[in-house]
Amino acid sequence: MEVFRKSEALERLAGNESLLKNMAKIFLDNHSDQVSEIKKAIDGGDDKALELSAHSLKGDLASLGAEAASAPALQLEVMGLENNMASALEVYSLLENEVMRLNGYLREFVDGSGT
Amino acid sequence: MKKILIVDDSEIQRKLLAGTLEDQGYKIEIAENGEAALELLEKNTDKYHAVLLDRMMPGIDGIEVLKRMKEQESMKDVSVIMQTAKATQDEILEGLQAGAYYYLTKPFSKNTLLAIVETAVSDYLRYKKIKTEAQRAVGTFQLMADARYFFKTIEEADALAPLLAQACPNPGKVSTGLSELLLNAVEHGNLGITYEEKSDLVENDRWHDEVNRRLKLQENAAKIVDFQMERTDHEVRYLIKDQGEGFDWEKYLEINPERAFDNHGRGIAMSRAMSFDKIEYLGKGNEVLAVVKT
Repeated sequence: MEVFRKSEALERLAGNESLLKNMAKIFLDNHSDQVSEIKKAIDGGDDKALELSAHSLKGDLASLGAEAASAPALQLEVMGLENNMASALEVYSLLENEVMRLNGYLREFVDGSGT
Repeated sequence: MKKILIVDDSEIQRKLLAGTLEDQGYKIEIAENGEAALELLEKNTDKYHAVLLDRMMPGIDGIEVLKRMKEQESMKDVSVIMQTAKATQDEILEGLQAGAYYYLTKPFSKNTLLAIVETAVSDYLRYKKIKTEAQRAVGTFQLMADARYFFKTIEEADALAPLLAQACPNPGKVSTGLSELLLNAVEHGNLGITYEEKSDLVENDRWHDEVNRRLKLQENAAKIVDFQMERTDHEVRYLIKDQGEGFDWEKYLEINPERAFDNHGRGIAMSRAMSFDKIEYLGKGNEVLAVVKT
């Protein structure tokens, strides 16, 4: 799975690169809080909070074309929905890694050197 | 200027929605959660043409915002576009039952967003105009025992709906449903525009042109819609008969979740839910009886 499907995200925005850059900047500023909320929900065994926080992050990732990170976010949302959090920490660590990889791509894109 | 309220807890989604819509000339207001949305809606009755509502939010979620809007006379007519996940059809059904007739899935394309917002806003404006006309007091219309009209065009349908709705105690409510049924009789009935054709025409902003083109065709020149109203002791009955081939009407009595994302196709279900006590299609589907209990 691709980390950052920039062309797909841009196509959805009818080529509006500055809007996608603005969205990427917001993500770079906010994602650590979003990811922390997910961790907090898992640590606290709060299925509803996990569902909500993972859902919100998943929506943002999908809009940014972040295919690889969207998958574990969806998995965590479903775990919250089904109150089945046994392997949530494993999936969380996958999410963390993917979000970190995404960070690099988005930073390059925002700084103007991304492809 | 057309004004949209965006309700979303995600800053990225707010930026995406607002950025795209502002580029098209919409005026945008933002609420970061359900509580803030209700506050804005209460303060600004009749100010918004549509609300783009995220279904899943912390605190008061989208469904609850929608339910509270539908409970209040001043807010209940504003078009609500629900943002949801396509995979969860139960959520769409829940939304439809609560009165959200327009849907958007994330991630969406610019064109999809604009098409659904334009549909919701134009439906809102059309309903508002028809309701306003219907509510102009013409008290004596409530004494009318029966009436019969023959018409051909969309404009005539739009003029007749508010007029004949005045035979009912709540003309505003009835007028929008009548308008939908009369419109169907012209465009789908007499002019034979199919569901798929309309999707394409609306998407490409060619619907009016195509209606006018078909009205001028020789084969449609003699086609009329027969519109009758009759009052009995306890109800007002509207019978609308077109000269088309009829259609598979059963699937349009409810909004199917699979069609919830389309840019049209809500009219019959909305009429049934909001305007009439009963809708019954007769024969091959080119005749519809709509009943209002009085």
